[in-house]
Formats: sequence, C-alpha cells, structure tokens
Amino acid sequence: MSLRAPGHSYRVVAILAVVSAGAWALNLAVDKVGFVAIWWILAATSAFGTISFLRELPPRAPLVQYTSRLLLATAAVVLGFGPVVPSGWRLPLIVISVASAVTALLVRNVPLRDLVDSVRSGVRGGGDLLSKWVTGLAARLAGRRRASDAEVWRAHLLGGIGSGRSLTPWRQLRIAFGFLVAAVRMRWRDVCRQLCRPFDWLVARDSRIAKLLVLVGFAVVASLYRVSGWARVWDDFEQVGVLLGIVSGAAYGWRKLRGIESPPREPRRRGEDA
Amino acid sequence: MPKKWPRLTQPLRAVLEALAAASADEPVYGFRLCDLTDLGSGTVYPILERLAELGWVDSTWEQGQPSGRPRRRYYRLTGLGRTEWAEARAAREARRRRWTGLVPSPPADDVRGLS
Repeated sequence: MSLRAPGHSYRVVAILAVVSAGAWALNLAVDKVGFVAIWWILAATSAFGTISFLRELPPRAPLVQYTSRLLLATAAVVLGFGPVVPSGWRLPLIVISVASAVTALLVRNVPLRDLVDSVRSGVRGGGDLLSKWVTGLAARLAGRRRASDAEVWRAHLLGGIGSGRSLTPWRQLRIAFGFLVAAVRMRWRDVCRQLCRPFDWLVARDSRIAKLLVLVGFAVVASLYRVSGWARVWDDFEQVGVLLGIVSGAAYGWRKLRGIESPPREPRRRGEDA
Repeated sequence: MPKKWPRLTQPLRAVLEALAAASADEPVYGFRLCDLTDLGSGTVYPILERLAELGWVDSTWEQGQPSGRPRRRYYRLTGLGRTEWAEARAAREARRRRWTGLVPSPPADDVRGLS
C-alpha cells in the first residue's frame, strides 16, 4: 500500500463535506419549497449555465448558430399554435415563445444597442413604407382629376425638409391617413355635386319650375281621380294647393341655397303682344 | 341680394387667415399650412380645393426640381379671394354684433374720461 500525499486526503474530506452540505441543503429545500421548485431551480440554473457557455463561444460558431436558429424556430412554431389551442394554453405558449426568442438573442450575444437600433430602423422602414402606400392609395382614390395631388402629398409626407424638420413614422402615418380622409371627402363632394346637378338644372329657370309644378299638380290630381273620382279631387283640392306651395318653396329655396341666379327675362317683342 | 359665400366654418377661417397672413417671400405650402392652422391634412386639402374652385385661392408649383423630395405646391389668396374674405369677415362680424349685442370696447382713454 503506497502512501498518498496529504493534500489528497484533504481534497477527499472537502468533497465529502460539500456533498454532505449539498444533501443537507437539498433535504432542507425539499422540506421547505418542494420538489417542483427544486426542478425549476435546476432547470433555470442549467439554462443559464448553457447560455453562459454559448455566449463565451464566437458568434459564428456552428453550435451558437444552430442553437439560436432552433430557439427562434421554436418561438415561431409555438406562437403559431396560439390561435388554434384552447384559451387556457395561450398564456403559457406566449411565455414559452417569448422566452425562446429572448434566449436565442442571449445566445447570439447580440448587443442591446444593436437590437434596439435594428428594431427602431425596422419600425421606421415599415412606417415609411406604410405611409407611402396609404398616400398612393389616397391619390388613386382621389381620382385622375387630382393626379397632381399625389406629388403634393408625397412632398407633404416628408415634412419641412429644407427647414430642418423631419417627421416621426407615427406622424407620417397620421398624415397619410389624413390624405385618405381628404380623398374620401373630395370624392364625396364630387358625388354630391353630380347628384345635385339635375336639381340645379331644374331650378335654374322659372319656366322649368312652372312646368314642374304643373306636372306635380297633374300627377296628384290624376292619382286622386283614379282613387275616388272627381269628388275626391274637389275634396282635397286645397291640399293639392298646399303641396304645390311646398314644392315651389323647395325649388326656390334650393335655388337660393345653391346660389343659382336665374337669367333675366327677355323683353317681349311687339309682334308677340299682338 | 346678399353675396353667396362658403360657410365660414372655423377650419375654413383658420386656413383663410393663414393664407392672408402669408407673405410672398415665405409662401405657404400644405405642410406649413397644417402647421400654422393646427389642422390635419384631411381637413386642409378639401378646403383648399373648395377655395380654388371659388377662385379665392391660386396655386403654383415650386420652381425647379429640389433634391431629396418632390416639388411643393404653393398656395396664395387671389385678389378676388382677399376682397371676398374681407367682405365675408366684416359681414360675419356685423351679424355677430347684431345677434349678441356686443359692441367693440372703447379705448382706455375714453373709459377714464367717463369716470
């Protein structure tokens, strides 16, 4: 039997002491917090240990690349299941998905500033694209007659360039949706103008209003006659008069409202009087 | 017969005030007009179109092609627009005075003289 160095005995004693302390601590933890908590602690510790190990490796190392891709894929797949699983499962799925994505970023050792910058540039780029798309849509909606408005609106979207003022993506988006509102309002005005055109034509001359009144009066009298003959016509004659008064008032009121001026009457020729 | 003016809503008045206050050295374009009036683009452009149809507002394109952005369109009140706006504003003020019974407050010197 060979003699061992005294340091070796100390090491064995130390290991025994550590194992005993660990067992005692485990026993205490199981009594106090239960096995589930122990498993969670172990899982978290091993996860952190793995992440720390991977972060020590160069970012282009295959292990780092594949691990981060696997985690990102897991996050996407888990999130994809969100809409189809029962509602009680959604929160755990979201937590797992977010945790996987965060772990992937931690494994890749992406600096926080780079991450924030990339997210910000992504939001800005997306906002720019969306604003331009909405502006284009508004220009198309406004119609060919306002084709030049597209250029005006694109210039507007860039804000006060030249005066040192640039717009945030959100402000650009708000302005772009404003163009959409403007286009809808302009088209609505066009529609209303087209709808008003027949009425404008009708009330533009007194002779047309007179013909309208005759036509309405004749139609009402004819319908009354068809229902109950001349007796009904004579009974409701004053109501026909009231109706014609209302139509006449509406026609002249419309003319005034729209600012239509009837042409002055031409003086009658002498031959016509005779 | 009273003149036919557009309905003088608050946004319309704000746009007309901004256009009336603009100088030839510093012409007004869409973005600046929105800034000056504190109105959205969805309100300002339909108003400008309506005023252009009435002949109150004239617009011209920016001279040359600026670098880094499309050309702007500058808006200005025409002579007719300036006259009509002044008349419409005066008529509105007179109407308001008639309805509310408010008369312009006298200068401070006159008030002191009464006491």
